[in-house]
Order: sequence, then C-alpha cells, then structure tokens
Amino acid sequence: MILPLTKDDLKVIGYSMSKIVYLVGVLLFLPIIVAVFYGEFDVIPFFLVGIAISFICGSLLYHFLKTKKEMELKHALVMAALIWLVAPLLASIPIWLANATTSYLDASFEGISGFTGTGLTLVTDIDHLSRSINFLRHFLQFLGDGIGIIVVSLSILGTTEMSSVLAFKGEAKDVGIRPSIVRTSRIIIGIAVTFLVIGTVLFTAAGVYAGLDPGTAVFDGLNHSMTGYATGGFSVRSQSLLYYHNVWIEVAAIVIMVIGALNFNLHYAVLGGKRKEILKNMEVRVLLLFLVVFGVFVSANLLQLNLYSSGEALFRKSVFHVISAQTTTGFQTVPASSLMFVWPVLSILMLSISMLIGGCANSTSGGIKLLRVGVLFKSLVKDIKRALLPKSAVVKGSFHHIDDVPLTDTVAKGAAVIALSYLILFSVGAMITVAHGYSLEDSMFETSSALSNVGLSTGITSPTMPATLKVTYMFLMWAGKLEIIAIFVLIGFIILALRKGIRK
Amino acid sequence: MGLREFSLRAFLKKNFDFIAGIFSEVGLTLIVMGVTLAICVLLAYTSQ
Repeated sequence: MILPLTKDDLKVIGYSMSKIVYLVGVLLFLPIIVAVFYGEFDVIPFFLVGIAISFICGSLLYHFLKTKKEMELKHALVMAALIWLVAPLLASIPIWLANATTSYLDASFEGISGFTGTGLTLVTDIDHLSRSINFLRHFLQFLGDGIGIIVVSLSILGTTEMSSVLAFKGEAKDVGIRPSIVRTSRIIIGIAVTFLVIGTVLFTAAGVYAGLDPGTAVFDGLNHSMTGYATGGFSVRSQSLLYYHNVWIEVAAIVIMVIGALNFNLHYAVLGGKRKEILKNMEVRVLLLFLVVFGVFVSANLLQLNLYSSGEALFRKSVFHVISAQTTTGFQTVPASSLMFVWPVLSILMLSISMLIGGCANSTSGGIKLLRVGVLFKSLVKDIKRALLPKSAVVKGSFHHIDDVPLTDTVAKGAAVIALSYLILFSVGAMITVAHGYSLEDSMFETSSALSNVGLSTGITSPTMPATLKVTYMFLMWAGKLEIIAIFVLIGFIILALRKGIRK
Repeated sequence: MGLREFSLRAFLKKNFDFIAGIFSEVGLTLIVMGVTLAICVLLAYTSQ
C-alpha cells in the first residue's frame, strides 16, 4: 500500500535541498574569480545577484523545513529530480542578466543543458560572450555532469551513509567503488580532476600548435576539457571545434571524449592497477564495436555521395561525429546546416541511433547506456539458446564488468525497463518536433540529442525555435539525465499530494 | 618534502599503477582512432 504524503516527507526533501541550493550559491563565486582575472567587472553584479538569490532560497528552506528525520529512497529520488531543475534555474540567473540569451526561458534552457551535460545552446552570440559567463556555462557541465552536483555536495558537506547511497541512485550514478560513500565521492572528483588536467594540457598544446596565443589556448583548452570530460559539448566558439580547423585539437577532443564516456568503476579499477580490465570489460568491447560499425557505415554513406573523398577527411568528419554522438559529447566539426541540408538521411539516422545508445553506465555520458544494450543482447542470445535446447537443459549466462556478473532475468528486466522508457520518450519527443514542422529525420536527430544529453544539432535548436519546443527539450534533457525513473517518482509524489493531500 | 629531496624515480615507483592506468586509457583512445582511421583510408582507397 502506498502511504499518503506527510509534512515530514516535504521537510526531509526541502531541508536536504537547502544544502545543495547553498552550494550552488558558493560555486557561483568561481566565475567571479575569472571575471576579476579578465577585468570583466561589469558582469560581477550578475553573479552576485545569483549568489544572493541562492542564499536566500537556501536559508528559507533550511530554517522553515529543518528536520532530523532520515531520508528514504522516495525522498532521494524526488530530491534528485528537483535538484536538476532548481540548480540550473539558479545558475542561469547570471546568464540571463548578462543578456547572453534573449529571455529567462532561454537562459534556463542553457542552465539545464549545462547541468545535464547536453550542450544544446540558445546563447545568441557565443563568440562575443564575456569570458566569465562562458566559463560559467562550461563549469556547469563539469560540475553537473562531469562530477555530479550531488557527489560534490556529499564530498564537501558529508551526510549519513544511507541518504548518500540513496542520493546516488537518484543521480543515475549507482557507483559502489568504496564502502564509504563520501570516500567514493572524493575518488570520483579525483578522477575527474586528473582527466581535466590531462585534457587541458592536450587541448592547450594543440591550440598553441594551431596558432592560438597561449592565453586563449589555455582558456579554450580548460573549457573544452571540462565539457569534453563531462561529455557535455558546450564550446567557447559558435562553430564548436570546426572553428579551429585543426586535426590535433580534434584528436585531443577524441581522447577526452572517449575517456569521459568510460565507467567510473572501470577508471577506478584501471587506475588502481587492473589494467587488463580495459580490454576484458564487456562495456568497452561494446563501445569499440559500435564505434567501428557506425564509423564504417557513416563513412561509407558519405563516401558514396562524394561528400568527403580522402581517408583523413572521412575520419575528421564522419568518425569524429560518430565518436561525439556515441560518447554523447556533442562537439561538431561540420556546421549544423550541413547536417540538416547536406548529410544524407541514412547518416543522420545512424547518428541518432548512436546517440540513443550512448556511452558507458556510471559515466558522464547519457543515453540508454552500452552496459544495458550489452545485457539485452546477451539476454536475447540466452533466450534463443533456451528455446533451442531441451527443456531439462539449464541455460546460464554472465558478462564481465569488473567481475563476472551472472545474467539474471532481474538484471535483464531492469535494462529493458530503462531502454523502453527511453524509446517511449524518444518517440513522443520526435512526434512533438515533427508537429512543429521539421522533417522526421531531423526531428529524430534533435530529439535523441536532447534526450541522451548529447548536444549535436541540425540547427533546430536556436533562439528562434518555438517556446513549446524549448520546454519539450528541457524536459527531455532533464528526464534523460535522471534516467526517467526519478521523474516518475516525482510525478507520483505530486499525484499523491493532489489526490490524498498532505497529512501531518 | 622539499624540491631538493624530490626523486622522479621514487615518484614513478610509488604511482606506477596510476600513471600506467592513465596511459592504458589514453592507449585505448589511440586504438579507437587508429582502427577507425585505417578503415577510413581503406574505404577511400577502395572507392577510387
């Protein structure tokens, strides 16, 4: 029996939320340092307003909803769903005040796209955006998707063991690296910072080689490293990586995108000495398989139409976009208009499927996830074997993911539920986009990009697109990030409150 | 530990697994790029 909601339920959620809201306020101080460094004093008040509003909201939640009651699973899931709405709404205030977007709705879109690690953008003139606002956009991706805002809060604020474990489930990062969840959070941050530094060095070196001045190379490198590792895809340039026309910057991007799409547990195992795991892991094998298969098909398709004739051009255009799509990053090396008007339908559809599948589970990437796809495929093979063998035969299955994991019906069912939910949302999103007058293939591409938190665009996402479509994509980005289940629990919470009221 | 007492050898020995792990992951990305680039070159060559 489902129990009616009580005031204590709301207090537990509100009180826990207050700490995250405070944290958003504190983290908004970081772009101020960037603003001071570059002498952009005119934008500092915009950050201060965002900080003030965050602190006021946090204080109200803290003082009016203070409680000692322990968090349960339902609270953690609802809280996770709300954090990914509230944090972007607060962090987008400076973006809106700085006139980087035409409205607060667009700024909120940017905030959600940032926090969820999507990378679709509604900023009107990225090339002339102040550096501190640009840094904020990229920092949001690193914070929201590269590390995870809840992970940050756990490592800084600390909390009870149980509530932390539940909060991880809500963030769709069911990572069990170490018994202590606070220690796990710090390990995740350590891994993220390590690859952030490596990515920054690679991008900066490539940028200097490409002819950028060292200051610009470091700034662009840091920002692209943050969004590359977070598989977010925001860029400091309106043309994304196409702006540089440099193969080494693209190579640096591929390195950091693929690393960002790997499982945290795998990072921990490999960096801890289990190096052979990287080639034994089922998820990595599935990733390599999809990259090669999609790479071959998209390249062959583009070659057939004589769009790119050399091996290097094919690699830099088709394979780069396959990797960008599969890792759910969203860096582009061809203009959005080319994807919409020049690239063939088959390539667009293959990239859409690639985006829907996404990267590894427990990583910064989105989508259905390679682990689930691998599990579903193995489960299918198991069922076929079961049908062919005699009734008395016992069919067992397993897959290698850090350890050998038995393939049970429960594991397969869990994967199927999430995959089905994604496909339903994808269908609904694509239909809504088609209803706005766009072609089916472009609608499927843009919808899978939003739902799987990718950021590749055919140009549908722009400040001039209808507000209803903006809200639809905001919902898809939010639902995709939380792997849908937390959204259903939140909706259930609201329905319960409306039908049965809130009891004391 | 001061800079004078810093020993690169000791540092590498202490952090060998971590550094080798990073090289393994970067190596994986190089394998991905190598394989896909080879396929692209082959495709372009066979189509001419």
